[in-house]
Amino acid sequence: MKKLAKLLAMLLALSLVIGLAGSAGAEEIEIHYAFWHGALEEFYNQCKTEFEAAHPGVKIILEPTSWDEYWTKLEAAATGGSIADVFHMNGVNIKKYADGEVLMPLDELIAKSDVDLNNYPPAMNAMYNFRGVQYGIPMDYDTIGLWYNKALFDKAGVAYPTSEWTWDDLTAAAKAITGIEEGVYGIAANYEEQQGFYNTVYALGGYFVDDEKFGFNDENTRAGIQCWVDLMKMGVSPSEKSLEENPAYLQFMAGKLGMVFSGDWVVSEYVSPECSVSDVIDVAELPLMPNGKRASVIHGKANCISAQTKHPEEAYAWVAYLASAEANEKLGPMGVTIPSFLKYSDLFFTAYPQYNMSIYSKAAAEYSYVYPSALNPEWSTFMWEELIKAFNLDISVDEACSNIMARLGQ
Amino acid sequence: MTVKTRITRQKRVDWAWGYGMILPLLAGLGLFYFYPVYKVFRDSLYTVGAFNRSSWAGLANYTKMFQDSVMWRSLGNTLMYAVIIIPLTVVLALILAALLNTRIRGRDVYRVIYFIPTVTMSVAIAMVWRWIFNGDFGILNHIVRIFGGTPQYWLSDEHTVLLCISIVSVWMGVGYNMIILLAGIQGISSNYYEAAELEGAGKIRQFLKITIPLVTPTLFFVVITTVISTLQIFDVIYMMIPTKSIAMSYAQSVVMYFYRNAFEYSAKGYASAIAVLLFAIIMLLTLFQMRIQKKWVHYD
Repeated sequence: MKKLAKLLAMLLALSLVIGLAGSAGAEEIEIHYAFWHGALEEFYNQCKTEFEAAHPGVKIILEPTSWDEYWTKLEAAATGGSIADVFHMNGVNIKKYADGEVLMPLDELIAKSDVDLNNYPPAMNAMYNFRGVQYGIPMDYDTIGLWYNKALFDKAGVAYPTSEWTWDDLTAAAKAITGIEEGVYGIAANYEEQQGFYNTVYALGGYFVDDEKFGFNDENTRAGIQCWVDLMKMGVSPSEKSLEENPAYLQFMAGKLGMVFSGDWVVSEYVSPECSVSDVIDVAELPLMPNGKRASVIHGKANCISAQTKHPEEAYAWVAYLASAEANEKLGPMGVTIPSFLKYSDLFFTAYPQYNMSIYSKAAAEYSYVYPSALNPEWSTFMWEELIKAFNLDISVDEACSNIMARLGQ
Repeated sequence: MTVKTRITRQKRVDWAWGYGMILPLLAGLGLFYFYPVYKVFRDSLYTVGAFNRSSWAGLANYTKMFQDSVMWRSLGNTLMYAVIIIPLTVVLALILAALLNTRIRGRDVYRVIYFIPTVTMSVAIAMVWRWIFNGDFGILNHIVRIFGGTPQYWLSDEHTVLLCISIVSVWMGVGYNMIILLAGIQGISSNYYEAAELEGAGKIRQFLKITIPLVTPTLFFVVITTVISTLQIFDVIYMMIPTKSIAMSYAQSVVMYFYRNAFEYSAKGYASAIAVLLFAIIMLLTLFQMRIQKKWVHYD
């Protein structure tokens, strides 16, 4: 007990000393920047150096946090009034934070500055626009592509996917590849949102949330989910349970899958030494649905400013710098994430010349749809709890969708 | 008169020192224990949304709870965990403690082996068990195939998931309880055993008639703590079952459901009401155990 008291007293004294030291040299303006992507730290360090040189008297304090803790910490900081001046935001949380009046509206600041929102994918701008007010400037994005194993295609005598490929072509190829080697399946058709049925639902004209109304009664929405469950029924995919315990990208990396829908962020796994098929895989555009359309769900981070910041102008200057051509040109070749500045997006792909990566920026520019989100995040729980049963072939898609609507009270 | 005042002054100084010494601990307890407890009770009567914006809800959270089928299923799962885990842990711990109290070769090695799960990071334990139970590559299915059985997706199947979690929990909890019981058994005077030997009682009879009755105070402690920790089961489920798992509703405990409400749905008011219910259940069970201990716990 005495030891504990001593220790606490020492800690208390120490914190006082640190507190005093901190307040002594606070003449320059400090802009705190909270973000979660660990791999971006190097990029931000470079940005910080250049930004501080161009803006004397302003100091950027980088505050990286792991993904697991980021949202808990950010919400606690927003509640306690100690939130960073500038921070990362994602599509799932933007409505909650904008509605909670935690974010500063940016329209006026954008109008006064060099930032032109036309430089970024329209769907990304829309994601960070809440009730007609712009709250964030996109910093990177992800879209989805169809990865395939050329060795398995060759063995089955099927032509590789092209940009003209339809869902029927995909189904036929999946059938041909299934069973070509022991334990090999054509495609992963399990419950996947951004890397799965979200894309087919949007391509077929369905929707999930529209102004807090949910779309699970819409026949197009149901059709976009049904096409995956049909693949499951045909037996051309490992079971839902198998893919739950061993995720699709891992089974693809082990050469057990002919095709898989993957976001661009997975490419770092596909080139890693753990991947046994790096040399025989490539990526193509998502297939056209029977209505002749295709869709790729887009998601990405944005930089937002706290409504509580004491230095809005300096905070905005930092956001504008991160959105600038200069910063994006630096970010691209690092191969960490796709810069949202469309002109520089392709620089990311130079890090992976062996693959047809440009399909990702084509998707963003031509047929990307905003990642769905609603004020109350509970809807997505109802969605997976019910739909996962349909993917496990326990109940029909129609029954699952009706259950979701019932639980949502709509 | 003078003597009296001197004593009081002395006492006052003592008290001041005493309270001064426990002040850091009290401050910590108050800040990290009493205040949160108060806050949970308070929040259970409010609707607490994102950024702690709260509004008075009265008993709405509690009425919602009684109509919430997911809540009841989670409570049912938790009771199933209790029924499986508590007896297994206590009985195994008692048997192991008795065995490791005898003079067998390599006794210390065994003691260490059984205690290892207690000091191992639970994340690491969950990782290993996930591989054992894995439906495609797991060792368990490998063994099942050798014996001609049907392989299962143990952790994704509604019929097996709860049992798998229970086995891991027992495996993790036995070592700690075994050490506590071992200490209790070692406190039993050897006179009893010598007397029993002379009377011709065998080892099993000694265990049943001497060891068990005399270790009951320790056993009582073990039962109480195991009941509480089992009703609060969370970490093994959290680490072994992916969030979007088909088996989640068959494995979810009350604390897991509490966690999801508080941190995934931002419904902290409702989550607090769940915590209060669990608190009430645990308190009632513990009070009940305190009552009936007179019937089976022997303090000599």
